Amino acid sequence: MFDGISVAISALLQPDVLAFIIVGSLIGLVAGVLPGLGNVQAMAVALPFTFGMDRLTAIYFLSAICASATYGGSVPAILINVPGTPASAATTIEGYPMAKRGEANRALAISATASLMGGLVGIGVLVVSIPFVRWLALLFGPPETFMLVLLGLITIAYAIQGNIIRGLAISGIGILLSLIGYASVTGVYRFSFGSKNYLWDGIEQVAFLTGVFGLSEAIQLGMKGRVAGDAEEVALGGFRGTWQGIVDTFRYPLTFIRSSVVGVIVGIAPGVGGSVSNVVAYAMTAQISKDPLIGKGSVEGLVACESSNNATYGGDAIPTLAFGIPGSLAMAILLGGLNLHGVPVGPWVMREHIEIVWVVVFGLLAGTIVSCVGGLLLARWLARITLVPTGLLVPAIVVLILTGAYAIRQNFWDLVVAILSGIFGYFLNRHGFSLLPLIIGFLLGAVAEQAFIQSLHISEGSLSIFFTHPLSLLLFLGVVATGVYPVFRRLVAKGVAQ
Amino acid sequence: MKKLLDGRSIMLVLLLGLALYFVFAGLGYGRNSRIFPVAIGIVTAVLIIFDLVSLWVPRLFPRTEVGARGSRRAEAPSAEAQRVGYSGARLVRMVSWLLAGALGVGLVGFGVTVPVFILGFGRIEGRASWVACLVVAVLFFIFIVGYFEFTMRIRMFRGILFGDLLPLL
Amino acid sequence: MQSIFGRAFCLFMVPLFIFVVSLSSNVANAQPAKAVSLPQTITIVFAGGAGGGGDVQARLVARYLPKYLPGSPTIIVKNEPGAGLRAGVQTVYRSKPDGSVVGGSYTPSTLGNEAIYAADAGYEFSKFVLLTSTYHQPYAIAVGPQTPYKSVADLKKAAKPVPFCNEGGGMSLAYIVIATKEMSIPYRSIPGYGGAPAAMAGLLRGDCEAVSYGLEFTHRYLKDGVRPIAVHGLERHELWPNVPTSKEQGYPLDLQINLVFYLPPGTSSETANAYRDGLTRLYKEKEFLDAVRKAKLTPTFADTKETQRIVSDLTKLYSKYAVELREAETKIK
Repeated sequence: MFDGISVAISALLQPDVLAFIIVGSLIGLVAGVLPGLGNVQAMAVALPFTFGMDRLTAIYFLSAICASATYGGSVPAILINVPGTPASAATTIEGYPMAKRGEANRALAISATASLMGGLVGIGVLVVSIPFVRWLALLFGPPETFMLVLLGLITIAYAIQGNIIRGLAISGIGILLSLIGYASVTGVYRFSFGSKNYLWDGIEQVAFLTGVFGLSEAIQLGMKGRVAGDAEEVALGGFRGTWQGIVDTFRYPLTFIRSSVVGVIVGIAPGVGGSVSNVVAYAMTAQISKDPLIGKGSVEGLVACESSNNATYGGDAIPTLAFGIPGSLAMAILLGGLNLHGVPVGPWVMREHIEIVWVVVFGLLAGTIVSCVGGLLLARWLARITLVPTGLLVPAIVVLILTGAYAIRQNFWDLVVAILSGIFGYFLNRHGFSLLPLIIGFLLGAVAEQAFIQSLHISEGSLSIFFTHPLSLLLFLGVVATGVYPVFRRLVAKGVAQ
Repeated sequence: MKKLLDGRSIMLVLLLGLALYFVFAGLGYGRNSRIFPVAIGIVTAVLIIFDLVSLWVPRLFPRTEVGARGSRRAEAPSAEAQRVGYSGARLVRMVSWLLAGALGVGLVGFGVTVPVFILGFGRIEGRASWVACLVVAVLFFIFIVGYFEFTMRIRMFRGILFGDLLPLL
Repeated sequence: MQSIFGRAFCLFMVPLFIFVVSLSSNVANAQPAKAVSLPQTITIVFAGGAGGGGDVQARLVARYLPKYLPGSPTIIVKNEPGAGLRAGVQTVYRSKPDGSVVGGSYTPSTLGNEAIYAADAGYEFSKFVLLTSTYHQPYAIAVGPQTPYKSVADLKKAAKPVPFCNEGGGMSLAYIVIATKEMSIPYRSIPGYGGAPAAMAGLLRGDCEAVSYGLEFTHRYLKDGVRPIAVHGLERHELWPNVPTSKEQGYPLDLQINLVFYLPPGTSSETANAYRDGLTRLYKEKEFLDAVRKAKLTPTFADTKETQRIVSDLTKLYSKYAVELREAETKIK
């Protein structure tokens, strides 16, 4: 184990390796900033360029890209209410209101610091878990995954402000929309609305997500009328704002630890990644926090979002390195990179190439540090985007979203889906429906169905499987507790008042 | 009557229709393919009906408007939506711009549509100066060609008038 | 006005920087074109996820093949594992026959899906222009560490149907159906695993008792306690000299996995021959073959004629078991 560390560290100290890590982090950061692109696309593009590199350099390069995009995705989420990657969906809820009230610098600094700290926790857990990694990777079977998803859905429906019934209903709509297309367990093409080809793999996630969040906001901005330069008066906060943001992150240690742990756990579970941990951690914080600004630009909410999504890739790496089961799409590309450089994936990595595990650990760590420190240094300049006049900002957002929606799989109809989702999102928002349960339902619906049907196959149709597996039972108790907690809290409040 | 026709009620009815589509369409599939969507569809439909009834007859279910964290605050449109206000004509203009953008990309591709869209929207809706619009339009054109086409090697849609085919629906 | 310029510059300086960098890299990569003209960028659409053996082969081909093709084009690999490994094949089926897109998929999966889904598969494999195939190896049946089975005979005697983890379509299901039918093993399918490693984790976790995957892949999990029961080949494999073949246990099954490369229907014979020639030369290059071995894969190769024979044999096999395959699919639905 220690031989592996020394091999990885000596490679890391080579100037060319360090240069590739910095370049990789910048590539990831930029891809993250652009809606529609994320670490998956950046890594896929970068993969062929690693051919000429030696094995360790290539893995350092890919790991750095992998780790850096998540923070990049938070930048447009905070500045223009468009999540750069799905993992920043919840970030928009707290980050954008902060930017709108002139605290863009502070929000970006919180995001960078919390991302860095969350990333460190995720990687720390990965390091600590190396001796138990095999056990951890086998922890989440279909019943456990289903219960985890259920917990996420219930948490978010209860945590959003407003009507619980409506929150649950709208997450139901999100789940239903996610079931369109080919069902991976049964192989049936469902709910096609007459489409024979386009909807085969369902509604494109990025097009839907950026449409619902970003285009609806662009419509909202455009509805303001012929306003130009209205943001000119907004202050950005300057260096003081940046420093304030760094300090803020450490004001909520419990929130930070809780959210990071959520991030890691979600990362270990197959099929669910940063997009889910970001929302679940936020929802938990929204439910527990006493901050009156929750939903309107709360620092605590932002810390929760940003620490969780960056902690996730440490968790993602556990099944990836232990069994060759990619914890996320980015990890699947990393696996491809490992294979390409002669490292067969599967249990062999842990046994025969322990130095590779350490290279991934240090690569993720370096990517996180470079991107977040870079983000902190650039925050002051990035924040100026909020000063672009609305008249130019709206078409810029629209173009970014539409090109991003198209680029993800180069299908013209994805662009149309983004527009329809934007209009749908606008009306939902206008009439008091929260968008977050819709998104979380949409992201988790297909995973939930797959885990549910698989569980029934395993148990030959018996629902008892959800209660006989210890972790599944524990998660179920979490679901019940989450449902009961608000009622209990209300009763207590009522009792105190009386 | 006013409540029956207000925006939220109309949205709820549309969402109910969507949920019911999944229920009835789902019934046509095999057991494993229908169990989950039908169950979720029914639960969703019931929740929407419950919400509709509580909206139309608030006295029946006074507690449905209770906030998640125990507050009794009734849910309202977002603060931004309230501040901006609502103008049907403005909405039609905005949606028309988006649809025109999609149509433009479909016909002549991203390379032409993107700068024209930015220039047009910036001038007509945003009343930005010609020079500012032109600079942003040119920079975005460079961005489309440079980043997507060259760096990411993603072939952006050229438009059906320039020989690209629309993918099958 | 000046401030607007400043902000606009601020908004776009990053993409602009990337553009400049990309232009310089493209100039450096420019290559003169030769006789048969192929597009400058070629995409291998691999109908499978990243990280598997087939994906690695496809990526190694993408890395080493360009120098054997006219114009030394850039080759990129795109993974399209969707729709039960059908999505990638459909993409190639619908692509322009100009040589810019090459298909790569596991033959048994691609043909198996066509046998199971018929017109709904979304392609007719016979219309593709076949190139060559690689990654030939026998399939095997393996059981989990906690199970009592030691041979095919034990599986046959199982009191309850033996649960098999699989993806829910393609060859993993088709070969389970064929093998269990031939060997009269009572079985039930646990579908929905996102790839062979996930199914293996399911086996180790106890979701199921058995799996059926390629021999080289299964071999990686023996140290975790996975136990091979039978190899569906006509002879014992060098990796598993002590594991009897299905034939030795009374069932002469020859179920192989292989990766086939093909071009969209309607591709010209000149273009196809350029690829065939390139691939044939590639599979003789020592550096490439060493790279394949370094990735712990066996660099096998079958030319177009041999690949055509493999495809014909598989088509016959699947038509023989068409009823059972459809039945299995209906059960999953």
